[in-house]
Amino acid sequence: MPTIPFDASRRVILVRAIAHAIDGRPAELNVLVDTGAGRTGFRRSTLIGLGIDVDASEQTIRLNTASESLTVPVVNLPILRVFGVDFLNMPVLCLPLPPTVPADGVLGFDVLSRFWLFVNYKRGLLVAEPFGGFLSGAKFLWQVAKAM
Amino acid sequence: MEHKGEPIEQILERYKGQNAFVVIEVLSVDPKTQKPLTGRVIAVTPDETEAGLAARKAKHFLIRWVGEVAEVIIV
Repeated sequence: MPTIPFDASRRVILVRAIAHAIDGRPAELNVLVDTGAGRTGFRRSTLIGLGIDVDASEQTIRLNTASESLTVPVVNLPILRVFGVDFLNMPVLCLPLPPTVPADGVLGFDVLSRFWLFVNYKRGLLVAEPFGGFLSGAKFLWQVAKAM
Repeated sequence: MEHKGEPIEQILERYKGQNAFVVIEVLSVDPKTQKPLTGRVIAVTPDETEAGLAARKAKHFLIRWVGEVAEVIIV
């Protein structure tokens, strides 16, 4: 899934992702691509829906943003599928996103750093190709050429 | 007979402006893109925890906010 269209008029890059519960149930997610975020995180409702008890999490992390500092739970997400790649048992944050933010979560450095990325903001196209040697590099460059 | 539900866009349009989370069980997906096409409403609530607990009843779900949408500025 190397080229993903997004609505540039929303002034954010919002893409589709799929998370799976331990029992395999999938959840359809809209997530923000945030190159300024260090960690990937999701809304409370999403994580609870996947059967994760966020309040019982034994691990928390101090999250520092440019505007505030807060402590949030860290939980393990059984499967997260992003740009066609599966991330297994991935530690993710439970983020207190306001309801008015039109996203179920945020993709941060821990996920994005696994891909070559190219964004054409003018056309609303994101090219994402997982690192994987010469062939994937060539595929990425071919997709970038088409997205220019 | 397989129950195909209602188009998801139609469901979200119906609840638009209610300032709540709509929890939808996905009943069919596009065979090519695997994107959700139809579903049924499981819950409508402004509470995130309630929305999550309701979603646990679905085999395949999505949760969407139907209400005011802010411009996203995350810094």
